[in-house]
Amino acid sequence: MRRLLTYTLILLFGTLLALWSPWLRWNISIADLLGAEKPESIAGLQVFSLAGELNIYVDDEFQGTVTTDNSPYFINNITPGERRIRVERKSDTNGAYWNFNRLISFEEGNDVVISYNIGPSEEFSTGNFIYTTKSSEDEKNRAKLNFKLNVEDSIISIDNITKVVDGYTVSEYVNLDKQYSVKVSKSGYEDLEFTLLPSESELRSELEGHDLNVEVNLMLQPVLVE
Amino acid sequence: MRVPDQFKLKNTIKYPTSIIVGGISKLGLEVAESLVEQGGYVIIIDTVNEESIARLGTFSRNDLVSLLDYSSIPHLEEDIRRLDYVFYFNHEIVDFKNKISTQEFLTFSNYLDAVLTLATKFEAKFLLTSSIKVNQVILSEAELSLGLGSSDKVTHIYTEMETQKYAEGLVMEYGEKAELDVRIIRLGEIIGDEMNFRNLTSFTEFILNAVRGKALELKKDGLENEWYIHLLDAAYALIKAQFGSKTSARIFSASYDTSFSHLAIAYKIQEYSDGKTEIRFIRENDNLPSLKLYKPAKSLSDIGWVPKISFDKAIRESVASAKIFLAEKNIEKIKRNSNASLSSKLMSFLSLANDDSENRLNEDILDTMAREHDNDKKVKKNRLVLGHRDLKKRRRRPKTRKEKFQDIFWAGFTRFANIFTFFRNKSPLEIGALFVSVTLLIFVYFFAFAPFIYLTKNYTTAIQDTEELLDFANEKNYEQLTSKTEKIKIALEDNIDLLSMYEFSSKFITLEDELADIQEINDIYALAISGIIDVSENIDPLNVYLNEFYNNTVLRSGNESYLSINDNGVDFSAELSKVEGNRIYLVSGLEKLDKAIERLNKRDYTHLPEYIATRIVDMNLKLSELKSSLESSYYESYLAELLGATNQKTHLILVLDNTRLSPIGGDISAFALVTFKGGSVVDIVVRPVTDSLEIPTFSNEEIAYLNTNRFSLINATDIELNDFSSLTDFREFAFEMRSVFENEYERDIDGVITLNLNSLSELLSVNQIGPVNVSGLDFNESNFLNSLNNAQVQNENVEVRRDLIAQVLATFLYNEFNSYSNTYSDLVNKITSQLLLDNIYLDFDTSNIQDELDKNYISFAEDTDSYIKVTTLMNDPNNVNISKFSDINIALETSISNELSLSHKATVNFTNLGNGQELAVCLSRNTDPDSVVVSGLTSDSLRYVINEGEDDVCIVMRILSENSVTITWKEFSKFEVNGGETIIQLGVARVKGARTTLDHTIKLGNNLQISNIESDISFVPGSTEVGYNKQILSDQITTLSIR
Repeated sequence: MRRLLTYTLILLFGTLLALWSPWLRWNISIADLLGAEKPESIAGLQVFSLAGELNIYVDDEFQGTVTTDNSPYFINNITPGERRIRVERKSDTNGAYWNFNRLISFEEGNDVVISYNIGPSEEFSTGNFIYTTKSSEDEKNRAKLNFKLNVEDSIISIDNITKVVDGYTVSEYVNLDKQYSVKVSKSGYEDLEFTLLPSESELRSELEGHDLNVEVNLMLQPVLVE
Repeated sequence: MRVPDQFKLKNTIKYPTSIIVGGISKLGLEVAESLVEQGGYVIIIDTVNEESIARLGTFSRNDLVSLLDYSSIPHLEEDIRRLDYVFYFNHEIVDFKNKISTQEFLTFSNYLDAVLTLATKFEAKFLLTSSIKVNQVILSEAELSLGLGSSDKVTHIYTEMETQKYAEGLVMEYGEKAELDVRIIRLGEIIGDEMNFRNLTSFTEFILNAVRGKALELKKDGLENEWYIHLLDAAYALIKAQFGSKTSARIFSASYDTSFSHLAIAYKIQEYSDGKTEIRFIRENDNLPSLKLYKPAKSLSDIGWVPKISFDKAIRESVASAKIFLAEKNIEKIKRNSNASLSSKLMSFLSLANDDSENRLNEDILDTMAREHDNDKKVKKNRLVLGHRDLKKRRRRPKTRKEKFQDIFWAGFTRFANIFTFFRNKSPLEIGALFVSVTLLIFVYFFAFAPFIYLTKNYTTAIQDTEELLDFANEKNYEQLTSKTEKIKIALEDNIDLLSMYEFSSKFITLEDELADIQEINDIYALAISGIIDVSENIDPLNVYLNEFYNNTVLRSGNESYLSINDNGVDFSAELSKVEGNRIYLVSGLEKLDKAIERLNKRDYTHLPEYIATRIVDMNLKLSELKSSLESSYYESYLAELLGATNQKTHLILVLDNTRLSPIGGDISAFALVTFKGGSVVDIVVRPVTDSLEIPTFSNEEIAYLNTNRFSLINATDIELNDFSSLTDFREFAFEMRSVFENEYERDIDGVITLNLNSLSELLSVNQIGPVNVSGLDFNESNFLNSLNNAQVQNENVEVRRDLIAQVLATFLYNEFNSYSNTYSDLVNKITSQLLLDNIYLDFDTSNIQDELDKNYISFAEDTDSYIKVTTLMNDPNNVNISKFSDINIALETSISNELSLSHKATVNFTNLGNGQELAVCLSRNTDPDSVVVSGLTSDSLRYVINEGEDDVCIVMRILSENSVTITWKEFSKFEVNGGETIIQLGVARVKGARTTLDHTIKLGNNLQISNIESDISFVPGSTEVGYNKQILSDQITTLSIR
């Protein structure tokens, strides 16, 4: 009887302990125990100003100001994950310009690139931002380019190879062995040209296993040009 | 007396420790030697004097032996670290009739109790020795009713033998109640080499008399029986009993197999002494029979002990031992005599000595031994009394904190140490098996059992919490929603981390796919929860605004405006700006939720157990509902801008009386012009629509456009506000309304909102909004039209009707501002549902929300190949007593020839609204006007016209008593026959303001077949005909693929 009670109590205690399982929340790192320094998990942000002075905020914290002369502005210590990025164009009049305000996913070891000419509204602003996400495909020396545009049926040209976008999105595969010159155009909107991929091959090779997401904002031409 | 360092108490836990109480006897020393040889540590409790210290001389310096006084028992609990065995010697009682006082009895019993308590504390094995003879005497006493223990004196009611009986009882009680491992060994009288001659038993008397050459005196008939045991056999018996496993809680006797009578002993002694000893019988006057044989307790031979030294040998050794003893005593006597003074000697010689020391010079050896024995007993008694006093003091004195802490520490440590004694009796194989079992058990616990329990707990709580999320979302209780989802998020993250630990090992047990499956489902739910958190966390500032908003409007009776303001309210710009700024989180959150639901719905759950699959499917449904509920919060994020978060915003609310239908949805009856700044109302006008509003000048083309779907035409010179109700496109209508009211009230108008009476009456049912009473009549959802008509009795004209509607609108707005926070969530839900039913239209010219609204905008002219729009117009200002909303049914037959030419037949069944009703059927611009045939109109006079507008071809009819007309028409061919697939988009507009049902049949030429229909219409691929009927809630396009 006593033994049965003891076993029952042990089982009950074991179950209660299992429900709590504090050891599962212990963050024991063998590297830390051995005194080895773990490389810090960081990502980066590059901001190019295509016009005017732009104030940069990460998670509502002011980071710095970028102009056309000192572009790009580098921020190298962004913790990977979802971050709120706000880019405001400096002006004496409150509310004179539209704010670039986005939640962007930062991947460890990779940079997000924002390049914008901010106008009075989103419709009259132009630019792009590029960010990476982990790829579900196993592509060697290739990355998948996912374009998302603010207008339908635009034309994308990558190194002069043109493709008409059906709708707002299109995807392409590119090799990571060189940079590409991209041009996005649509009738009634200002064209946008930019360079894709870093110049250093080492940095390009780090993009292996990732998708490259490019969101493009074309500016509406205020006056119909014929 | 100071104990030498060698025999002081040692502070050790390493060695098995034994205590022998009363252990300085030869028996005790034999037992001690045996224990020490086996590597144990022995503590002997006895009287500390020169003699006892001398007896320990047989132990070497390295032997672990200590000698402590009887009085040390109270302190022993703290002083020793370990105790495994206790031997309590209580077998030496000589004089059974010797009475002891109650106090002495208590002293003895307390002492024994203290030793038993000590043994219990250390869970030691306890062995009590008692005497077979005592037991024999007690039984005889009982038989003979000798009353040996009785006395006429109260203070002398116990005998020494009763202490033995009590001791046995107390020990067995400890065994039973305190679960102490006890045994009792009743020993025969100990004889043999170095036996104790101070115990004056019959045997020792015989031996000593025999050795001294005196006669052996036998009492009574000499047949009194005794039980004997050799000293070494006794020591062996005690060791065996203590260490044996089958002696627990039992009483055994250890002696020779048979008892011996005094006469037999005398003969034996006579035989082994020099043979000259005389045996003599003496009388006793007690008239008691000799103590006879009885059966003692079960013999220890049951556990394998047997006496190894024969009785004859024991007698011989006893005789030899007696000779040595006597020789030593004589030497002592001679020494004493030689040391005595001359006068003492002389006095002694003359037998005139008057003190003990002188008497001792001449006393007999037996008397000497009796005296020494008494002295020993006295000393022992004194030590026991001292110990007893100490015990009482200790029991009275409460322990200090330090002592308590030490007790707890050592108790715990001892218990821990005892775990390992478990291994003492196990073989290496058993220990190995035990080790492997324990390791396996630990492994299974930490890597299978505990994770399974933890995972199950997390999933169970997550499922339960998820079920509450929908309620919180519907109640707009975002604080609770956030809190619950955070909990679920933590649970899911824990599970994700836990499952990832098994990725490597799952490969070895071929459960890789199942684990990946569970991980993926987990990831999807984590994504959904993350989305919900994004939404709920960031809509919270809106709640702050709602809770702090206060109503600064006041109802008025004047017709300048039925609602005005008292003050400018509170500035909530900061809170509303936060809402606006957080919209990206809402977008992100809803996207995550969308992705998660899409992935969940694509998964197959049939391979999971049914119970789990059902729960998952239920949860997925709940998530979809939750998403729908949260989607409204997306539009709520635009409220900040609409409520003037940064800049002042003015909105025009128009009420269309859809009992008096018009192409835009009803008679423009009343309006409210509301200006918001920082979330508060800073200006408001609520009035009926009158003809006094100034209308801008329109060109002929614009007038012609307005007249496209009218039978009675509008003139440029007398255009009124309600003439704009002929427009069918809401954007165009909103544009015109803006122009009129901006001109009238000299302010920019940012938003145009139209309600009809369906939606207004629905909004009156918002929870907790309060009653709406106009002209003494209650207006609510169920009686709106009746109350409106009743209020107009004897005033049946359109102005009165519009005025009543304006008052209802004003009261509704006032009530809404009054209970903003309580009614908000229900209001938003109702507005959303009415938007979906096209009973409310919104146009916000410059706001970001317009982009969202435009996503659902359909332009038939641009988006379809062929369409039909039915509108109706009530033109008679005195026809106001319409007590029901219109029902319109369109029965449409579309035929597509092999050449892909379209022809149609539409029968429109409608509610006849009475005088002044017009009906327009507008068709796509591709219609051949010459092919139009109208039938069903009752009169032959020109009752219809065909207007060719910019976008439409409209057949406009003046209705009299009809409630059904039929139109057939053909369209110019616009499709090329190429043998491939042709896509044709057919549009049917909802009749704004009316309940519209459609019965549509599409028939193809015999060379054509339907390959696809992009809508919820069911069809058979390859068929040449399809038909469906349904209520259309908004303008719809059916995309038909034909081969």
